[in-house]
Amino acid sequence: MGILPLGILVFFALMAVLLDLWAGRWWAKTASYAGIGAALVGELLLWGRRGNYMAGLLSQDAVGIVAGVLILLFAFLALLITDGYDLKVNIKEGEIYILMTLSAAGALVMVTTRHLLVAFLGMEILSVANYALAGLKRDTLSKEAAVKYAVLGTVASVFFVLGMAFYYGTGGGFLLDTRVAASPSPMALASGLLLFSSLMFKASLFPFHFWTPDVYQGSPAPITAFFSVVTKTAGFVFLLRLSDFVIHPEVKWFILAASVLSMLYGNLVALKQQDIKRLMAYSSISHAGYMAMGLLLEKQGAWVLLFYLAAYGFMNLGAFAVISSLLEKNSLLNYRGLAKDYSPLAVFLAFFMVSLAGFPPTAGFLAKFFLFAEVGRAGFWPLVVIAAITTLVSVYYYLRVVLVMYMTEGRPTASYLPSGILTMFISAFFVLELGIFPSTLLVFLKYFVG
Amino acid sequence: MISVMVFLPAAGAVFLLFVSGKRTGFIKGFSLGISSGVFLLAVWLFVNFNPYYPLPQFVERARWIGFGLNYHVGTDGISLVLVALTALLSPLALASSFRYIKEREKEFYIMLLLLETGMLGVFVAQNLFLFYIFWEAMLIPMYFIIGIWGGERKLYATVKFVLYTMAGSLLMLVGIFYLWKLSPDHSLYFYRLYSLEIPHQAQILLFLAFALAFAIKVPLFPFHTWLPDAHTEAPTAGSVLLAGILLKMGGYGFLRLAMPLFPEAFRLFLPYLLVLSIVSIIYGAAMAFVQEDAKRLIAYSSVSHLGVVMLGIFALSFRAYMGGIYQMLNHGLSTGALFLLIGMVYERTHTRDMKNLGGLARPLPVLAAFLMVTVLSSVGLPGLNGFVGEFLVFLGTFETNRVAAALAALGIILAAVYLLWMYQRVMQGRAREKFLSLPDMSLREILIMVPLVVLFFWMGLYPGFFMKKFERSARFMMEITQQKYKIISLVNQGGER
Repeated sequence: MGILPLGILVFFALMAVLLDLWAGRWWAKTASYAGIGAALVGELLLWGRRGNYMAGLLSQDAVGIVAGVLILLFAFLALLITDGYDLKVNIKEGEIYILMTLSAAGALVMVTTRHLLVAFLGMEILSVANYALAGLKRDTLSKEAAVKYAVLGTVASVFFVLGMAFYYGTGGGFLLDTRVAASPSPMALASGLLLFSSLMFKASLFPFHFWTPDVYQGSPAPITAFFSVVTKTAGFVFLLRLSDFVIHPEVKWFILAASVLSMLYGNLVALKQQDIKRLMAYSSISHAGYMAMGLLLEKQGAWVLLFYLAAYGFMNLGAFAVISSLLEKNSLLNYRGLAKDYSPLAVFLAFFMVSLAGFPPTAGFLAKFFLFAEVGRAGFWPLVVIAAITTLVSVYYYLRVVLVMYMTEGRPTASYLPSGILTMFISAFFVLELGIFPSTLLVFLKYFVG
Repeated sequence: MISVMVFLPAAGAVFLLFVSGKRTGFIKGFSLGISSGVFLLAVWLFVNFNPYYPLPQFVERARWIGFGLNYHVGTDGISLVLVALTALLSPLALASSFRYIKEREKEFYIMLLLLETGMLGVFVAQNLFLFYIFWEAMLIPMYFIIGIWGGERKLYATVKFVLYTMAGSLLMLVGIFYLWKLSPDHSLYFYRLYSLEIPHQAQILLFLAFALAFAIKVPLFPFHTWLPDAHTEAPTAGSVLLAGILLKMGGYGFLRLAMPLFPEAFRLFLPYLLVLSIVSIIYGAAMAFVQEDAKRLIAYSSVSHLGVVMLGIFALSFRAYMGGIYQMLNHGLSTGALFLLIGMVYERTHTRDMKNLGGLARPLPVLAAFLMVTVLSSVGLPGLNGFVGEFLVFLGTFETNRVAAALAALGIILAAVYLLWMYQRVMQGRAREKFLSLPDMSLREILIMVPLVVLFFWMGLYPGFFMKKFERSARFMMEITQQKYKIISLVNQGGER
């Protein structure tokens, strides 16, 4: 039962490959929708169950299921953004859908296992699909993005393999468990640092963020959205599992430093960006910094982090749905006067920006509220103050996007893509819903996770 | 009832989203209707409020998020009068925009209605979480109001306004986390928090965080620099609500939160706060003297007048405390009226530069008369509202701190000079040719001003009617600030959880 969603997803992804060959891209697209939708239903059916499958290679628990639901939901929304956008920017291959489905399958593997080898497999499925996705636009920037992502991603994979080897060397086998966590040996420390570094690459945390701006800028906009939510969710959920087991006191300092530097670096550099995708890239780094604070918490960390991931995912997907509607005219100059000519798009983007900046009554506010409050409760008050101050910095650049759209004149061009609009509505619904009635999600999180 | 009042404007704003932007007549009428409805509800609250009960009345509570974060609104006497002020000024500000705002009218009225919900929410919130939500949510509509419909330097002004306010409130948020962790039932309910034993060291840091947020909002010198820009660039309705309501939130925050929550720290910082209030009074007045822009002059006069309010609240004498609260209302009405009138002048002459104005009393006799009454109310002429508040503040301050009272009175003398001088430069002297044919106030404009002028006289001649409403609550809040232990038993008697 536990591997049902994964099985469905992989089956449909492979079907989509064949259908793309024989029947055309429409069928590949439909198979992808069907696969992700069916897997989502399957994942929801598992709600509340736990257990180990396939001799412990896969294991299902509350965190994994919530993360799985989020990943599949995000992937579905990312497919919706892609639908219609792809033909407008001349991406005619059906592969874009297939690769996204495969990448989502990799992410799903990552969150449903405690076995390092299986996690590595999942990470590679995700990464290889991502490298190809980044290059699909086929202009110079897109190619550069793909190469950069692939080269740096491979380095991260090497880190993971090395970390895994050290972990094995400490006598723990490949399963994450408590025995190794307790061992104070330098080898355990090395394995912790290496594994964390590798995952921090996926989550675009500070010293491993270098790929983020270029890849975000070069990739097609819906794919950027996909990277920023699906990959990040998978990365953070696995980081969460690692921090349950491999947490060494020194590793904790490492996370803390990465978190602070990500907040500072991401927010400060975002101030000067003129390209909205680069701006979103730095925003993504800074949000990773906030989320990394959640890794410092003990058991409390899980639910605040999952809530943050949910909120961040919806607001980012919504924002990228609007960005995709401008069809790769990504300079902020192209957003001048958007409120006059394309009022609905501007309203949505302004709403998501306000949420990303953390204003009530949106999900962005409550996500920050719970996270900061829990981090404070754990005693990291200086960290909370830094987070609050960097949030202030972020208000400036998020509101600058609003300012450009509403308070300057220009002649923007955009197109209303039906499924993109649908995504905006769905995302806005969830951002408001989580912002005003968060208990709908929190009840489950507290009951199963916390 | 309170919830209906608070969320009615927001519901109206959501409804307006789906109305075509071309039907401006309907949009104006509808939003004015909503706003007036809120006013009627506020009047109902005002009339039915029991002045002999100091704790929040009309309380409404609902489970919301869990973790003690619940929906909890109500109004005690202090909140009541501020709610009434908000509910009065909002429809007036709205009506004053009918001709002033010429583009994107639908969005403007949506933003005004959202702002009204935010402002009312701040005053009726009974727990810190809800208070913070309304406090922050209110910034976004104001950001748009200044940024879209403002004057020449609107972008600079609006960004400065949001960043300044956020800078204070984010540190306050950290303080809220600390209190949340500390409070036994995690409810953040005001009257629960008052009885908390907060360690001395923490009190100091928390007080600084809260005081910074509120001092920026008031604004106290040296945190006032956002205000002249925001006031000057905002459209008339924005200036009216900024001066009339938003600035009051700073004072309200001090007396509701910063002072009673952290009384020891407040005592510790009291001398500095008094100095800042007095510097605000004198500095604001001195700056008002040299302004050429009439709106900027009023903005600086706000800094000065709010200094009086804060002096009254900080003076730790009950008379001054009452006077400070009363003066908040007076300032809201008088300065609101001043901004409305200068807005009307600007609509006609398209300038606020006093060098280019003058002699307007001849073409605009009615407007001149209204401006005269308003100026006199603002400078505190006996018989008008301003006098009562200022008199109480100085009387009370004199009891506890004579030097402060003497220095502050100096600022008031200055106020009389610069405001009357402004009147002279705008209304008297030789009228320019091009201004001679200007139309005087329309019926709509007169109807906007009449309630305010009636209140100037009413509040000046019969202050007891209004003071009675908040006297008990004010005494209660003051006692919490001064001696904490008395209060715990009272709260429990009140049956609040």
